[in-house]
Amino acid sequence: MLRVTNLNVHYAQKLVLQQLNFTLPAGQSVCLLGQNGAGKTTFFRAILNTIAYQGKIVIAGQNTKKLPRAALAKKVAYIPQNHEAPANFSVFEMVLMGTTANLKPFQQPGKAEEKRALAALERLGIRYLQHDYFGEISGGEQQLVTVARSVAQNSRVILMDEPCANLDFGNQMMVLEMARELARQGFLIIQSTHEPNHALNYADQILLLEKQRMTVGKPDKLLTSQRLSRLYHYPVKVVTVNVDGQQKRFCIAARKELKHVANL
Amino acid sequence: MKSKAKRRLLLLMLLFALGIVFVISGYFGKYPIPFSAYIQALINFGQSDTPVNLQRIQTILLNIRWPRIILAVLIGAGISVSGATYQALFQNPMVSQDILGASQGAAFGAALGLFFNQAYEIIVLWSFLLGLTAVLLVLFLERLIRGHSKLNLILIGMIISSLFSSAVSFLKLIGDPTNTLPAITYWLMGSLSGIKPQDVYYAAPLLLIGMLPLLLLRWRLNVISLGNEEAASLGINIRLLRLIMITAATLVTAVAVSVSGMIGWVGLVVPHFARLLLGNNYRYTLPATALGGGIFLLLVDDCARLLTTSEIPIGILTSVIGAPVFLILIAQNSQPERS
Repeated sequence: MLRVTNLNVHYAQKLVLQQLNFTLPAGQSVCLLGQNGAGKTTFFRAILNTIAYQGKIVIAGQNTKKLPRAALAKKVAYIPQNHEAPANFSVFEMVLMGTTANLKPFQQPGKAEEKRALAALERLGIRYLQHDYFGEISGGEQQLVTVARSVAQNSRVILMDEPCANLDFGNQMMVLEMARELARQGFLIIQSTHEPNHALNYADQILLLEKQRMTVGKPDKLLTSQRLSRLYHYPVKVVTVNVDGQQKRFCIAARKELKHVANL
Repeated sequence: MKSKAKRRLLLLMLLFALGIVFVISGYFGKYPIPFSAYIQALINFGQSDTPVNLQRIQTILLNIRWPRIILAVLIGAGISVSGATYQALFQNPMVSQDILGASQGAAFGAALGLFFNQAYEIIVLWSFLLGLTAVLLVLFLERLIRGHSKLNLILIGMIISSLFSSAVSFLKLIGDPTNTLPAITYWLMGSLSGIKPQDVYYAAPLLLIGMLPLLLLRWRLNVISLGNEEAASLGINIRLLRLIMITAATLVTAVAVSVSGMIGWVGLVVPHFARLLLGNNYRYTLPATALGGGIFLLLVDDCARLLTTSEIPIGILTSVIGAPVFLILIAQNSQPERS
């Protein structure tokens, strides 16, 4: 579904991503982990072709660099972080914008597009929100609306930039469950996160961005105490807990004497 | 949110209101016309056996009142639509051509043309080129600074505006005090009083050509107002669309400025009223902005020519209305964000 070959990205003359090579099949929920400023958003930008890069990114057999914007939008949808719409659209209008890639330049969305937007709202169970203003619903609902927009966009790959940031615990779980379910229905969902527990419990595949390099692997192989401690420069422990008969793994912080804390 | 049918009805009502204001504006004027004769003159248009007194009224309408009314409507619609376009393009509800420097750049271009006594087409061309230069300069400087504050765009716009205003002042300084200086000064205040029928033939098509792409691309204006990255991911060619829209909006601004001088605030204020009435979706709001801008400027122009015995420059009236509205906008925008 998504194949990245020899990807190098420079940002302001600095190498941000170096020699990325991997393939991700459809129908997977993927978590992208990395420190602050590691280049997670830059990686998304490269896939969206909104930043200059060397290398090749292929989605469903097509080189994304050679696709016009509208054609690319039919393959990849993007949910940015910190969604603050400057103009206050209604939820329905927001989702309807997902159908833009299918319109001719001068065309307004018609019956078919409205049907698709409603179907997307229906699929996420938020049709009752359609008349509300996007700026006036809760953060969790806003995230659902942007996902519905991606569904209306009909693209099989959905990139989510820290979809759980600024959400309360319940809404975080809802977004994660939804991402997993969409992956099960055949989408490729790539979300960046700062919470290793989300990756441990909800990801089929992990992308670990460290020192400009990307490592790909299964959560139980890749997310070990050692590896996560190295990634975050802080000792952590991955523990296995028996929850109602299921073995689940969690990441907890180990104690450490920090210099700046000790001096307080 | 209002339903589709309701919004269409509101648009129809605006169109109807524009028609009424159009007819009434033709009735009012310095030369008194009895109302019954006015209506008869309207009905008898194009008929050969029209009595002489009605023919005189028709001549007044055709040569004096209608050119001015038509351009008031088109300029009002044009500067409102381009103001709304700038607001969407820069994701900033507080900008307009006056704040981005487009008007001042266009004014400098037109003043240059007046200074050198050039023909109307050349004045418009100068006006367009310098208006475009001003906007591009503002955008370039904003990118150079790489700030994240929405205030930056406004501040840089102010800098460029005042630069171009000084350039106009300089032209006034070295201009001929009996001839060029009063021409530039009076025209700068903004007025529709000097409009002749041939102005309509020049300016009206250009205003319409400038507005057409904006109205046709209005759904994309919604998407672009979400921000560049997001709009790109939704399938919009940002660079091309921005180029088309900035060019079209600046063309409209330049034509308006070169016909009627600086009529400030309209491009900022009218889109906000349209949004209050119809919501944010430009699919409905942009046509409403056009109709509302036409009605607004026509009414203000009626006041300009009828309130006192000598004409009040229309730019003065729009500032008196626009400035307090802008203050209200600032107050609304600085309210703490709801989470």
